Amino acid sequence: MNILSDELNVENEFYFQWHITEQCNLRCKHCYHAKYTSSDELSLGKLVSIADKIDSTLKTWNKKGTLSITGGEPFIVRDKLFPLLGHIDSLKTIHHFDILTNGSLLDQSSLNELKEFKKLRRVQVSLEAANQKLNDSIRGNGSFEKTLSSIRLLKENGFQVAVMMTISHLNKNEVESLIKILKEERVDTFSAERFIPEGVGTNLKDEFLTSAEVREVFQRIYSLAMKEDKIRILLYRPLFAQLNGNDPTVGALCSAGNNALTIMHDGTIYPCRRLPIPIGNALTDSFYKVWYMSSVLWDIRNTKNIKGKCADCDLIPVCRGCRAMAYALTGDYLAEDPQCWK
Amino acid sequence: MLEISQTDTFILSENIFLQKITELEKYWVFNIDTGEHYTLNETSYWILEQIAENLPANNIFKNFLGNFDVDENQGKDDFREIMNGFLTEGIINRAERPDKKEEER
Repeated sequence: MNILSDELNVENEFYFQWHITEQCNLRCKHCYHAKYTSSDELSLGKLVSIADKIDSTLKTWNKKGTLSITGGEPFIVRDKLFPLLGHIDSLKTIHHFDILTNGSLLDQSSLNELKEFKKLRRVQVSLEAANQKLNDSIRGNGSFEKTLSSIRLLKENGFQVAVMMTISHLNKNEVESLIKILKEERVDTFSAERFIPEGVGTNLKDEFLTSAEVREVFQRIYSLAMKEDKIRILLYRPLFAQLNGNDPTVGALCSAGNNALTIMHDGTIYPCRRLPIPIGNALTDSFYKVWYMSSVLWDIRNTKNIKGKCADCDLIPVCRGCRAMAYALTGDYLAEDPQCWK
Repeated sequence: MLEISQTDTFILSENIFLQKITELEKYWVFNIDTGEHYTLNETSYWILEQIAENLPANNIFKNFLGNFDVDENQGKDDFREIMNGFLTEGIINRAERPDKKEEER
């Protein structure tokens, strides 16, 4: 009998995306959250106990842990955020963590506190366009200028900054101009996520891209990534593998059931934030139980279950399509990725 | 090494969970309490499935010989080795014999 770790988790890292609150001061039109209330939010003590559970799990699995702490807007609950980050920073199994924020509540005093955390790798904010009006029509009035100010403040204080863009019909032609601005602002990394119509974002479903449009946008992003040296353009997403299957930095296997879990504000565990099917609770269940016994995760792990064009695709070991996209569009998380152009 | 008597019965330890993906020929056993996990070959997994059905070891052994078409002597050694591995790793326990329970009463 051999230890299983290298078979069940293809990488040595295990990633947790942790939404510590649902409260948010913005109402972005594409948001995957359905509500923004503080009910069921966990106390600091419970958050710390989950962090300890993450630590002991990673220890048993002998995995390097990476975390993204987010919300809602995590800085709304700064009384819990900073002590929690302090605790996470002290855990040996955690290699690094990122904070995903809208940036609107960042100030010098917050950054002074963040500087104390040795394992904080990057602060990620979002911009949807280089065009201020367009960005603000999606993220809210004033958000463009506020986000740029936050980026500048972060860079002045020596932080690594990541910017994410959620691509839909609304902003698919903004990639190049946005990256140009981000370079000028000395942003470290850029990534683009496909818009999935779920949560509040269901109202934007007409802005969902066709597979031909996704192909065209992804090709443009890939071309930029190949020639840009001032900003890293991350291509760790399903479907990118079709553009260069030989390069391991291009494309990524869907992380659901593979090497990641999402923890929600009330402890509910999802396979991925964009695949909102509860598979356990971090307070009451062990991560072992969830990882080993969830039928949803086992359905996804068995690549023979994946349907449609994904079933016959030679890239299935390195892509598998986005299971969340399949679920949002068809109600079946094993359906083919509806935006795949192959 | 384990001696297999006619009446010995083994049980899966508490918190042990079996999982297989037959199409991919992948077999696992998990301890959902401690987080330990092992990958198995088809034969070892098959034995654990039989144990989960509470069959006496001797029956499992007979089924094992029939199912995998192995020589009895070689099969005995293999079976013992696998069962001992499971016991050592805490994946199975020896079930208390009903007659022993009666004696204790």
